[in-house]
Amino acid sequence: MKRFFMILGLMSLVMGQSADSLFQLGNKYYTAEQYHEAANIYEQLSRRVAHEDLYLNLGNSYFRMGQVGNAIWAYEKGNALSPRDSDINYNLKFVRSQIRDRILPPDDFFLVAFYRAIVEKLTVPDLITLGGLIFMLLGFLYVLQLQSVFTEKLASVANGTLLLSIFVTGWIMLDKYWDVSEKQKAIVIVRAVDVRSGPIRRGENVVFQIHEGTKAEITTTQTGWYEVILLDGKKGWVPNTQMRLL
Amino acid sequence: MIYKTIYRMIFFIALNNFILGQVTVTASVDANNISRSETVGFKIVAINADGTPNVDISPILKEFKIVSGPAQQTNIQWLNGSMTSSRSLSWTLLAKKVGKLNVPALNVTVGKQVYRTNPIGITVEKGAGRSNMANLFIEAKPDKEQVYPGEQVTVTYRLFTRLNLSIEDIEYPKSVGFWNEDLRVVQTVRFRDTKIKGVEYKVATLYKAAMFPTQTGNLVIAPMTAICNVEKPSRRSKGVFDNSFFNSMYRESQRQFIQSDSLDIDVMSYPKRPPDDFTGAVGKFNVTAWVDTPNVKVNEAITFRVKLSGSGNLNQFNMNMISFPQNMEVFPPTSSFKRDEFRDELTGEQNFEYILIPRLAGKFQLNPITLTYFDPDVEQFITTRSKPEGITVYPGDKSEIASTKFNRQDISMIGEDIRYIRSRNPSWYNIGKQYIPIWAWGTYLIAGILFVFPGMLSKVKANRSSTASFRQSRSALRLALKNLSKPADDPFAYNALVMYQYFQSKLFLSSDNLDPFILELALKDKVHESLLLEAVSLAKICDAGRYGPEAGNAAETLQTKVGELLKKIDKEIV
Repeated sequence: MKRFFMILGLMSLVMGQSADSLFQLGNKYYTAEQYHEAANIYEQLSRRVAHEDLYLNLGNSYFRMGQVGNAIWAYEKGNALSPRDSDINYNLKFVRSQIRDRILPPDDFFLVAFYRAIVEKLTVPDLITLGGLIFMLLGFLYVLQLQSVFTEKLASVANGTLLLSIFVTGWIMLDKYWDVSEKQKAIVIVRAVDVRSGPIRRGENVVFQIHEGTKAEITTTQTGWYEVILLDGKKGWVPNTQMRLL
Repeated sequence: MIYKTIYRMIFFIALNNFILGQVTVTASVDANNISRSETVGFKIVAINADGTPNVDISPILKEFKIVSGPAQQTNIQWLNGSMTSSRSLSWTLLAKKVGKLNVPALNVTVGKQVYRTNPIGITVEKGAGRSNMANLFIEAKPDKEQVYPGEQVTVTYRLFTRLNLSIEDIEYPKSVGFWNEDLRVVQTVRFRDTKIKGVEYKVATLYKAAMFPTQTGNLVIAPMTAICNVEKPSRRSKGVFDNSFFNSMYRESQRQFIQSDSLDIDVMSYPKRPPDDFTGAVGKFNVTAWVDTPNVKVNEAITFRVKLSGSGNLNQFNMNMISFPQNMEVFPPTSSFKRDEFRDELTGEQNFEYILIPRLAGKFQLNPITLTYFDPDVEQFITTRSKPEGITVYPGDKSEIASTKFNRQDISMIGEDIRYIRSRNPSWYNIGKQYIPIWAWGTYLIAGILFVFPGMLSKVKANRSSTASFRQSRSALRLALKNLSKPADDPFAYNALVMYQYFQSKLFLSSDNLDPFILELALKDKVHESLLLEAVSLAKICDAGRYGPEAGNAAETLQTKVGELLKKIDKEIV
């Protein structure tokens, strides 16, 4: 009952306050090592607004509470908003080093790996900005060509390079957009999950087990179940209460 | 009469053929009285069968084991002009137990017909036992017949023989309810001589196993089976070559199946209720635990070793969870098991190695490791414990971390922590909307401008020049009338200049040298015929000027005339 009132009080506090003041309240709780309360505040705030700093703080609170799965979930959310944020990347790497499952994806061809790394480090807004910059350069080039500043050869090389850059940026943007909007991923938030061969809870159909913090892609959903595929290609069904969608 | 005889003959031939051609199925064994170690041949014969008989042999398997078979055989026989064919299937069977056994009636399918064989009784005697002084037998001997769960029963299987033989195959016993550890599996059989009740035997140990019962009750250790090739005495007639040298060249051997007795083991319940921390250890054990160094710095690795030694069901039970002090990181242990090969009791030591990394300075105590086991000799539960270990952790620097147990990547993370939270209020985004800076959109705007700008510039230029001419054209009349009002020395030349200037501006004429002819061309189709003529004539007058015949009169009215004309023309040219 006491807990209920506490949550109720917290809720009313949350509803009536600005995002900034709530964020500060969460930070206060965190500094006072009241991680549970801090995480509650940050969670409430994350339903109203978004920012990588919020997810960093939320992830830290969960980590201090010993909830590695939720911590990874929060850092992943922050990473999606700001993939080059060094603090989030560091904490994510640190917490990932503590999870039990070490799933090694199959080795890609180095160019594919390089491309993947680029796509991971850029957001859709980054790509939009990059596209704008390239367009602007192309515009300047056009003006200079009208003024006959360049030789014809130099101008065609520059034109070709910029057009290719626009094509590549566009391609990456589409790929990224597809990755962000189509692929649904989730994190295991309980200690261990039995992955089953079908969406039925029966003793003998457990195929393998994954542990807290492991990330998996969701390929199909059914009432109460997700079909997941791991980085190394293992596939199976898990109850949807045991994973948190990214 | 003769017809009657012929009919009778036909009838008898047909009857004969019918009787002879009828299918009969019989089952037989080659011996009805056998010893336990002997095999029995079982044969099903189908006479006059068209195809191979099909037999469901499964009812036999209850009391017999099939050693080999089925072997198929077909016989065709001509007797007194009539043909008899028989097809047979034969098996070699081994009795599973002693007593009066029964080969039940079997269903044999020949073509589409199903026939039933006759049941056969076989008496199996324990003849292979030692009491009968058989020539060949396997003895299974347990070291005890009454044990507690988890207590070791050592079973020794020995082969006794008075014959020359070689072992072809051994089937080791698989018993339900026991955990089986091989103590000795013989690769090459070595016989030694022994005497039983004055009879000489050769004996060899075939197999020795430690069996640990996992449940209580009467359990049965399954028998062991061996297939031997036994040398048969020579049947050759005596003669000149009847001596040991030649006999050795004509040895005949017979395959023989021998089986040990199955053993009944009585597994009793523990005399007392086991304590809560009892995890199933039975035997005699000792636990020791120690750390490699009792003084370390923060973040330095300590190796904590636990050794469990003794004899009993090692490797078959779990150690109780060890509680380590908080603020001490514990890595999952590695474990190894070393067995003492030279003893019949399963003896050895199990080692667990934990890596501990203290995260805080201070004095810590590692609790004693305890193990509760059941000692069957004294029939009591005993708890053995290691000594407590004290560790002093001094504050230290991170750079000194060193341990060969970890890979480089793991070490790089030790002693580090997550980065701290951010406390400044950020510029919040709306959920689901990604923030794109305004200047990013600005770059697209600039790019657009850069593409459009040069084209627009040239258009503006052209537009501007056209606007200037138009303005000039519109103000041409006003300028002309203003100029006409000014006094002039030479009114003819001056009026001509004003008029030409007017037309130049009004009609956007580029040429500076206008004359009446050009003017006529320029005005053609733009003004009325009469006005055109008037303009041309006036121009001509002006050109002719003061030298013209009407110079005096005209000079006075010329100014007015030009003014009037220009006004009219201006109205017509829009």
